[in-house]
Parts: sequence; C-alpha cells; structure tokens
Amino acid sequence: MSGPPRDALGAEWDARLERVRLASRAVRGHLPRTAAVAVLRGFTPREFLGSAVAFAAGLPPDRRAAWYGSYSRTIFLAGDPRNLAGRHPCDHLSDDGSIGWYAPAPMADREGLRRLLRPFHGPLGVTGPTEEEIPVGEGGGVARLEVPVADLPVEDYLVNVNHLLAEAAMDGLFTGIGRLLVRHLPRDPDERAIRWDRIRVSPDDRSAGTFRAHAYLALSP
Amino acid sequence: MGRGKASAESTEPPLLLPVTITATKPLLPTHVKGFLWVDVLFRATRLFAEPEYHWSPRTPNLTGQTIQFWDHLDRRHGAVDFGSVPPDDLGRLYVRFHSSGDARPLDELRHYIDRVEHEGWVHPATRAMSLAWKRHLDLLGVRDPGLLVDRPLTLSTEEAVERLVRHRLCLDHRRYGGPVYLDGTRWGMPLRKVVGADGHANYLLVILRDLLPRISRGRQVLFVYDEDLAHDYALLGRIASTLGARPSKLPLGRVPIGGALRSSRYGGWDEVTIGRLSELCLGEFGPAAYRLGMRLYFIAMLKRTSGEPFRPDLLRRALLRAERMVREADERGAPDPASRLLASTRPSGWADPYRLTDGLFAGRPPAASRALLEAVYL
Repeated sequence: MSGPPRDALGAEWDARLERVRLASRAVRGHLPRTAAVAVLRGFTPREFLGSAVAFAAGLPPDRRAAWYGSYSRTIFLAGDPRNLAGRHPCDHLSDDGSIGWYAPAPMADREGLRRLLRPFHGPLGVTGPTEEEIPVGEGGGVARLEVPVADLPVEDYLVNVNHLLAEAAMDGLFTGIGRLLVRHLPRDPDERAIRWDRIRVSPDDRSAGTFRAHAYLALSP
Repeated sequence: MGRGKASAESTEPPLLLPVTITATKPLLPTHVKGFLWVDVLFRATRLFAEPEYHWSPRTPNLTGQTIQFWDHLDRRHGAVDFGSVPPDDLGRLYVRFHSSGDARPLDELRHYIDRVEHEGWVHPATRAMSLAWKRHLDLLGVRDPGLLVDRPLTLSTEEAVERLVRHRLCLDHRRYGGPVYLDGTRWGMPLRKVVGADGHANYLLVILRDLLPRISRGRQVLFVYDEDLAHDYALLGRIASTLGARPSKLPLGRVPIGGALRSSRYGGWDEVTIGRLSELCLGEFGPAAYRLGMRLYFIAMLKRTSGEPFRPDLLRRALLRAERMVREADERGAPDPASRLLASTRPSGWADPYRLTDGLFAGRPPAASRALLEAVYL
C-alpha cells in the first residue's frame, strides 16, 4: 500500500475534530454556522493557493473561531470579481484579481451573491506545473504542499486543499513562512518517502471505517 | 459608410433583430402576431429611415429543440417524404415528438449541428415548413426576411465568446469542464449559461454571433421577442449598450388559444393554424382586406401584451372594417396622415406599430390614405 499508514490517517482525522471542537468552545454563546465564499473567474494553483492562505491568515480572530468551528466550510462559485466589485465587494482578492474571497458569514448573509452566481463546476483534472514555488507571506521559511492529482477534478482540489491551508493558516502554522513549494504528484506518495505535519483526510467512501489522504503539508521543505 | 467622419455616432442603418422562430410547426396566432408586428414596424420605419432587418434561418436551426426534433424524425419517420406532408400534419409530428420525450442528448447530435454550421443544411421537414410559411407570409403581404436564404453566422462560437470575455461579459469555464456563462452580474443579473456541459451553445450565443459584429457606436438596435424571454433580452440589451449600441426592446405577448397561454409544442392549435385562418378569411374577403384586417386584429385589437385570447369573431369584425377602409381609402392626394402618425412614434427612432395601427382603426380623421396603406399594410 502507498500513502501513510491507516492509523496515521485516523489520528489526523481525530486531531482535526479536536481542533474544531476547541475552536467552537472559543466562541462565546451560540456558535453561528458560517461559510466563506470564493468566487473564481479562473483557476490556477498559484493564484488559488496564494490567496487561500492570505485570506485565512488575514481573518479577524472572532471570524476565525466560528469558521473553524464550522469546519472551514467554503462555497466555491463561478463569477468574475471585477464585475462584483460594485454590488458585492469581496474581502480579499488574489494578486491577479481572478479569485475573490468573502469572509465567513451565516449563509443567509450571502444569499444575494449566491443568487447571482453559480456553483463552480470543474469536473476536469487539475493541470499546471508539477512543481512551483508560491509566495505566501513574510519570512524566510519554506513549507511544502504535496497533492496527488491523478484524476483529481479541479472542484475537488479546491475543497480539499483549501481546508488544509485555511486551517493551517488559522492555527498560525504559516508564521515565518514566506514560500510554499507545491508539488503535484502523479500518484499517492510512497509512505516511506513522505513526511508531513498535516494531512487533509476524509472518510474513504470505498471502505467503511477507513480514511483517504488528499493533500500533505510539511512546514519545512 | 461614414468611417472618415469625426463623429463617434454610427451611420449604420438601424438594426431590426426579431427573435427567430423554428419552422417546426405551422404558423400559429402567436407567430402571425410576431410577423405582422415586425412587418408593420419595418415598413413604417422605412418611411423615414433605412432599417436593416436581420434574419438567419441558421439561428433557429441550431437550437437544441430543432436538432432533437430532426433526429427524432430521422429515426422514427425516416421513410416519410416530408415535402408532401401537409404543414399541419408536420406540426402534429412536432407535438408528438415533445410529448414522447424521445430526445437524444445534444452531444450525440453534433453531426446535425456540423451540417448546419458548414453547409447551411436544413432538414427536409423544416425546409417544407419554411416553404409553407413563405407562401402564407406572401399571402399576408409580409416582407420575407429571408426564410429560405442561407446566411452563415458572422462569428464562430469561439470568436463570439472571445469578444465577450474581453469585455468581461462572459465567463468561460470550459477548460475545467464547466459551462460558458454570460455575465451580467455588474447589473445584478444572474449568470446565464449559454454553453452547457454537453458543449451545445444555446440560442442567446447564436444571436450574439450575428449581433456582435453588427454593433457600432451609437447604432440603433431593436430587439423584438416573446415576453417570456424578457430576462434574456434584458441581458442582451445591456450587452449591446455596453458595446456602444443604442438598444430598444419590443416584447410581444403570446396569443392565448382556447384560454391557454402556452407554447405550440403542446398542441391544441388545430383550428387556428394559418392554413385554417387564411382559408376562412379568404373564403369571405379579398386579399387586401385580409392583409389589412389581420394587421388590425393582431396589432390594434390584440395589442402588445397577452391580455386578449384569440377570438375568430373579432378577427372577422376586423376584416369587415378593413374591407371598408380599403374601399374608402383617400385617393385624392390629400396630405398623407402618415407623417402626423409617424411623428408621434419616433422618439425611439422606430415606428410604433400599435399607435400607428390603432390610430387607423379608431378612424381618427383624416382617413388613411391609399399611400399609407400600400406602404405599410397591404
């Protein structure tokens, strides 16, 4: 079998649930269910990853906890941030202006925006360089993100990688990290060669009680 | 024309762009209404301007419902000689097709689309129906916009999408396996899908392939369309004006038949096809009364909206009135009331068929001149 051992994935899953629980507890009173929104005119890993980290790292603390407590739920919509600037200005814009991010809020607050746009539909596989380095902040540190992309639709890439990066950013893991080395792997990595600090894990639909790894984050290259 | 002028205003003639109708069913009251409104509008506007009336049969022939109907005919009725089938019976095949649900996905029907795009091909059933339409429009004195003339669309789908993307009017997500949308979100209009996952471009994008290259700064464009399409045409109007045109819109309501306001694909129209109506009218009235009376009825009596159902008794009354008007038309060379009527219709740059026709019908003096009737109504 390739990839990390199953018990390691289970442990990653449990650790995430624990972080979500702690974040929920940090919210005083009733925990509002919130979701962030990302509006994409286009998708490139560079713009997406860079803006996902910057957006999450820049959230005010009160928004962070509620969003973390809502499992960093994010809705990906097709749309052109330039055309929305007047009626629905976003809270964070990717460097090239192709992706607009809206801070986590109760779903009802985003109804107007969601009525105008449509869910991002991207069933085709991710393309782009297999390895690139992306600026993600101040500092000399380099983190490494590895994503197995064989048959991975763009729409799934968005969901999984965003959870991993957003939660790591809110946990302060990117402090001192200036660059993210991104590697798109043709297949699941060999467990002996892999080293990570966080893994994006979800229950494996194919086999009850097991987990799947979608993306790996290491805080040193 | 006028390219050397310093003025930024268009010297292109005003463009009349009615939504095209698929020739898959006989002309029914809703279609007759559309053709008569546009004909009066066009001919009356010609009294003071030189409008271009644009119609390409390729536009309706590239719609999904036409392509799927053709495929259905070829699979289920392949041996039929469509040229010898009466038009009303062809229309019944269309109704049966819609109730059967026998439509294949459009991505399996690319070969039909390719033949229309590359050869201007028309299915024999649609060709036969177009010929029948033309015969009836001739009887009605409606100027033929080119029902049987093949006109390749000016831009390819790719060129149209590229132009729109350049102006931020379009979102193209095909490279991710997603759709193409028209983007009117800056005006609070929701994204409108124009190419779906099946790769088929819908009618809006086909219209834009002919519209975009015809837009010049300040050019007047009039869209005439079925009221049901108001959202799409609001978007088209915004797009046209963003690109510099001066758009106007004329939405027309469907004509309810037997109390029902619905599309011809559902049937229930056997007694009101143009074949039946013309037979009834021309059995009692002469050709001039038919032409004028149909216009009085479909324009002045039914009006622009859908409020009034189709009523044969009122149609007959309009023909009686028309017969008298044709007889009494002023031939003495008195000043033409057209000028006065038209003066009140001009703010948009287009004649208003309702005001013009209602004025005639109401018999406000002076009476219609023979010249006006011949220029616009006969």
